[in-house]
This record gives sequence, structure tokens and C-alpha cells, in this order.
Amino acid sequence: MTPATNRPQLKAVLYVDDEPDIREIVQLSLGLVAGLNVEVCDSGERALQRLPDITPDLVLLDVMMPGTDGPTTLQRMRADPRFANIPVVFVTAKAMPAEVARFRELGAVAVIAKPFDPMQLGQQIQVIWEGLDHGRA
Amino acid sequence: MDERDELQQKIADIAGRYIQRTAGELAGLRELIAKVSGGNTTAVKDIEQLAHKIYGSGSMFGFDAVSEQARELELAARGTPDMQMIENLQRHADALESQVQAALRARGVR
Repeated sequence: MTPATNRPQLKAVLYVDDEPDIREIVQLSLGLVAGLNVEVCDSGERALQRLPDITPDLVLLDVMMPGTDGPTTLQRMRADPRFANIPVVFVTAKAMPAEVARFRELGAVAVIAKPFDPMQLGQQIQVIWEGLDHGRA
Repeated sequence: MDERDELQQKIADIAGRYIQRTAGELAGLRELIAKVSGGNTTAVKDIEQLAHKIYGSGSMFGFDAVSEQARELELAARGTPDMQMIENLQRHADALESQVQAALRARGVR
């Protein structure tokens, strides 16, 4: 029995951040991952509007955004049965242990600290994806 | 040039855009501090968000001194505005501007 055979391939990621430079870096960085489609949104509100069309396997959320911030976006996803099971990763400069614990309590499957290494981001995402219990999703 | 070298080059280009844009945002930051001085208490949230954005992106692009000053400014913008907070905001905005100017000079931008 090999768990890898049960694991679906990570095919689509949505990254949400109000900072255009970081969006561009994430798009370029994850663009190095073969077979991965990367969509970006500049706000939590826009992400919630686009989710039905994008249907990502994984959502990466900045925490501090004007308007609908990351935690609020996650809460609204969890309240919608269509998106409730999409794993969410916070990408944040607020990565102190207490804050990370709070984000995990909110339902984030992982937290990636800024600054992250653009050369390693794809691998980081893959490790997180492979660590998820896809049988429960 | 392989795709990783290409990514490094693109990141360097984006970093250049970032620091120039940040320099442009400092005027808006000053306006927000003036609003707080004038009694607009909600402007501190805007200052906190702008400083947080500069802090997070600055660290991504290796502008550590800019990022650190932006972090100080972000922390100074938390709480209820009073004279002490306004002084701190102005002091940290000055320091941030100095670091942004230094970063621009280091890149040969005047």
C-alpha cells in the first residue's frame, strides 16, 4: 500500500494578496512547478467571487489585506459548503508562534512565513499538499 | 540562462519596482499621519496596513532596513491615537524615508 497512489496531484492553486509584487513573485515561483495552474486575486472579496470558477485544490491567503482580510476570507470559505473543504495556507509576515497557533485554530492547514524563498516555494507547497489527509477532504 | 536564473532576474526587477513605488507611497503616509494629527482616528489603521505591506514586501526583496523601519511604524500605529503616538509615527516615518532613500541610492536611483 502506497499513500502516494491515493494522493491527487496538485493542479490548481489560488494565491490572494493585495501586494502586486508578491503576487507576481508567487506566480513566477509556482510557475516553475510542472503541471500547476496558478491563479491570483488582489483581495479576499475578489477571491470569494472567483472561487466557483477557479475551483483550486489549495488556497494561499495573505493575512493582512484591506477589506476582507485572510482570516475573514477563510471563515467565509468554511461557511460555504462549496469551498469548506478547500485547504487554506496563510502566507504572512505575522508568523510569530502565537499567531501561527491562532491561524491553525481558524482552520489553516499550514502557515508560510514571509519572507519566503521564491526558489523553494513550489517545494514548500508540494510538501504541505502531500502532508494533507486527502481521504478526508 | 535556465528558468531559475530567469526567476532570480525577474525578482531583482520586481524589487526595483517595489522600492520605487514605496518611495512614492511615503507622501501618502505623511498625509495619513497628518490626518491622525487632525483627529482622524481611523487613519491609524490605514497607516498600520500600509506599513505592514512595506514591511512584508521589503523583507521579501532583501530591503531589510526598510522592512525593519516599516515594522516599527506598523507597531507604532497600534492603539489609540494620542500626542505620543503621533510623535512616534512621525519619527518612524522619517526613519523609513531615510532607509528608502538609502536603498534607492544603493541602486543608483537619485
